[in-house]
Amino acid sequence: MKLKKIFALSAAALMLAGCGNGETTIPDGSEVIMTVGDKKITKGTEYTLVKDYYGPSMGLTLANRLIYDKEIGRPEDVVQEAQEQLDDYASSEGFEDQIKAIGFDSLEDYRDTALVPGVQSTRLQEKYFTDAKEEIIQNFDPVLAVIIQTDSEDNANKALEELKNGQDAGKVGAQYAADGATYTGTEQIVSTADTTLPTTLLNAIQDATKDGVLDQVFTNDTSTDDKEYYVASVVSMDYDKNLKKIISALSSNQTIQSDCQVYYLKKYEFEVHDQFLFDYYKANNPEYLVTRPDLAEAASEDSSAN
Amino acid sequence: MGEFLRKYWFVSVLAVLFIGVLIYYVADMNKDNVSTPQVDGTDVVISTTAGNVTSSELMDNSTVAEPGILFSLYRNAVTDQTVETTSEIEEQAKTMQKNLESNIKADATGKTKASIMSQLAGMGFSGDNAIAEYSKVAAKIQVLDGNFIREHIDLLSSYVPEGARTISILTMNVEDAENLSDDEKAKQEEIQNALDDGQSFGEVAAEYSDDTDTKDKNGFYGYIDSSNTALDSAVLEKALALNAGDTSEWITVESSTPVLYMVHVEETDPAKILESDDDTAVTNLVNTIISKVNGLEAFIIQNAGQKLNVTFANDEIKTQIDDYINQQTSQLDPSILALNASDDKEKDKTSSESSANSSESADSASSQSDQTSSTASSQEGE
Repeated sequence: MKLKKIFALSAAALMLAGCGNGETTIPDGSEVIMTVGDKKITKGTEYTLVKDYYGPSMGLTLANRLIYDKEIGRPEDVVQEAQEQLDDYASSEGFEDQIKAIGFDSLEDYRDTALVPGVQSTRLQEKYFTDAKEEIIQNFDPVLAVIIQTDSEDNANKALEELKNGQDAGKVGAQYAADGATYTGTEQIVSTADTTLPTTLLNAIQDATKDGVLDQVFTNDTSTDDKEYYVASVVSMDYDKNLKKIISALSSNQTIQSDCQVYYLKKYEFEVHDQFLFDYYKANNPEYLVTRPDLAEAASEDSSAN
Repeated sequence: MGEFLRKYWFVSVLAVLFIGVLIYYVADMNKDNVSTPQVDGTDVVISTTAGNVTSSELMDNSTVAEPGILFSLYRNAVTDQTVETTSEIEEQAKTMQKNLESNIKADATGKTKASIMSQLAGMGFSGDNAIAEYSKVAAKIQVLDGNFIREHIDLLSSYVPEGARTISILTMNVEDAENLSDDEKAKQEEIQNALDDGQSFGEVAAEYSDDTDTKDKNGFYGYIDSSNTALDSAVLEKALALNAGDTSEWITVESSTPVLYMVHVEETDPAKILESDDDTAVTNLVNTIISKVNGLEAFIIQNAGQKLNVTFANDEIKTQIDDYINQQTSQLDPSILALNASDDKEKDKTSSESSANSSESADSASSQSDQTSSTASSQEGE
């Protein structure tokens, strides 16, 4: 008898497996908004469409606004910066009508709902460079350095000699850098995100244990006649001291932006409770589903396998 | 219990194994299913430790997307109510549905499905039947567009693409176009004699053409215009230069295997092309006009909507749809825009509800913004 019960319960569990709906609804969803002939269209239908079409981006935007308010808040300088942006936009004719047409109640509503989060977003990204310092050092290894790019080995050797003699890098660059060179002796942040530099040079800068001139001429690995030569000097490896320059150099990096998003989603335990949105993120941005790290790992394995 | 286990130990082991597998199966099946908590009676779409995003908040913050979605709902309902579901429509819809479903199945990452389902939501379709519903309505929109364009082709003539026509072709594969063999020359002569003897181009193409795509259709190639890129440029140039009923000389197309073409222009009158028995030719012309005339499709929906009983829950919804249509149709020729105004006047004359709304309808004749709403207002006035 007991066995029968167990099997019956098991069968019921099997039937129920995967039957969950998980689609969110709105409280007044049954309200009819439009009738065409004999077809009634409800607010609930409209909500589902808006959610499925616009929800993936808007859901994340709204969650980010909550995070911005916690991390950055709305101090006077943030509102002031948003107000300055508003004053600039509002000077163009018809701006107020335009924002009202897309659903904002007033200029102030637009400032508080759209512009303030924009300012907060920038501030949060700057804050990320402090909050995730270890992660950024590990992934990008940003170092302040000067690099001079020349078109002959002779010029590179002369530039190296002058750098070793303590000459100003800018002046050395002005004298020996190739015409139209990207690297002319200006101080700049060098990180793993720099893909144009020869790997040997990049590795040497990042493996340096102390500041100073790298006693070597580097070349790009090319079999053509357009060989380029590089000399470099590490100015500072101090992350905190270089912070402003690191932010300026790396804040537009897409990997950093994505890492920043995921970092704060993790911190605030972002969790999706609508099945459509969950499936959408699972397919397109599994890294956002931070309570399910297995999904991002599986996607990453799939993409490296392909 | 001990005695029971001793007696039925084998069955018990099997039961434990079965339950273990079952638990794993159930857990695995449900691992990607989400649960929806509520706050103050409203579903939570996203939760964070900084706060929640509820379904109501998501809706309230999506005003940018709302007019487009409302119009899509209106369009789909109007189309579905206006065009009867025929077996041809069902057939077309099934083909469309199969294509979409096979695209989805071909991508194991789920990205294609997520993208298609989101796009369909933007077009007013969601849920398990979204693809089937979309396919059906898309097939019906084709019919609705075709009917409107056929009826009003005189007003739309300026939008008909340059060189619009239907043509037939006859081809001959040859070894060397410059030096035809005796057999090839003989075949050319036979073809020319058949045409000179009064046989129709279609009959001759059916008998002699080497083109496998058109041979079985009496050489009928279909609709072309000056933007055609499928035909060889020399053939296209000749086809566009001929008048209806004319047949070209032989045209040489040099490729890996040289081909000689004869092209015959069947029809150049858009009205007659639209009455053609060849559905593909009709559809091609209709789609070309629709894609060329910004806002025409929205206008056709508005036109069809005026013939139905439409009511809106409030003026705001009505205004959003009207504004959306007005924005879409703002570039249309005034002579076309006047159609909906005159249709509306006609409706007011015959409608039993007209007396209460005649002044509004008169206004709507001069203002596009009232087109959709006039029907709605007449219903609301009841």
